[in-house]
Amino acid sequence: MSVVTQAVHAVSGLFARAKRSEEVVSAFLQNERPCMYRLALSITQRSDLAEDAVQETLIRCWRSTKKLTQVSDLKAFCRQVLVRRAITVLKAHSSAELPEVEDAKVFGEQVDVRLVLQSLPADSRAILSLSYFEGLSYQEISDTLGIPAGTVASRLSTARERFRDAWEAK
Amino acid sequence: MSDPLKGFYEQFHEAEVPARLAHLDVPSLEKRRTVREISVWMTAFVLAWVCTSAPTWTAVAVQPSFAWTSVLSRQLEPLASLESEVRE
Repeated sequence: MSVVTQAVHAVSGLFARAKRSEEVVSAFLQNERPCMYRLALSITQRSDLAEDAVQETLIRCWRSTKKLTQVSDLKAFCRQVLVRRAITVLKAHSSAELPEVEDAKVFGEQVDVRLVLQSLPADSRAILSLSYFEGLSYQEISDTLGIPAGTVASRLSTARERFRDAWEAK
Repeated sequence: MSDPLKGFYEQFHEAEVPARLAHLDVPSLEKRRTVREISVWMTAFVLAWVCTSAPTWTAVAVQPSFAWTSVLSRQLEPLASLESEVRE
């Protein structure tokens, strides 16, 4: 086999591998949608905002599919993008109220907890969600939010205190 | 006292995912988004160009000494010479 043929085979092999990697990323993004939506919903507590956050995250991930093929932990990367987006969306709609019908459907008897959580800042809600809903460690939350692990501990403690105070004052 | 947050966050594990999100066609959505972003930038660019150049053109056009006829005759001069050459 000539050198040129070998080079052509090597290059086509590289392209095939890259295409396979992109297909893997695409399939991952498809399968991960329910988890992404539930995490976004636990932070925003509004289905429309959660959908918005997931949609934006999917678009961003789709645009950087090539970069995602190099990422070792895809789930952590997508979670990072999603949580930041959810916080941004939540800050933009912080004062908006959820319709009563949806309230009853989604939150059932937990509406009181939701109302208290609504009084907390978006960052506190995100950190509570990552801890309670996702069950992440301080280090994982630190990687997701891009803050030191020590700061995660103090912010989580502050968020719990704020919730407790508001809950007791209710 | 039990932690009310534990029970609250539990319910999201079973939350129903909207069908439109599950069937969302991300590539076509991304294309539409890109086209929209490009058109917004193009519009902004054209508007900025018009806004920055309009005062100059307006100032030139409203000058009493601005001789539109001489500008036009200068523009048409090559055509006139071409016509005369053809006639010859």
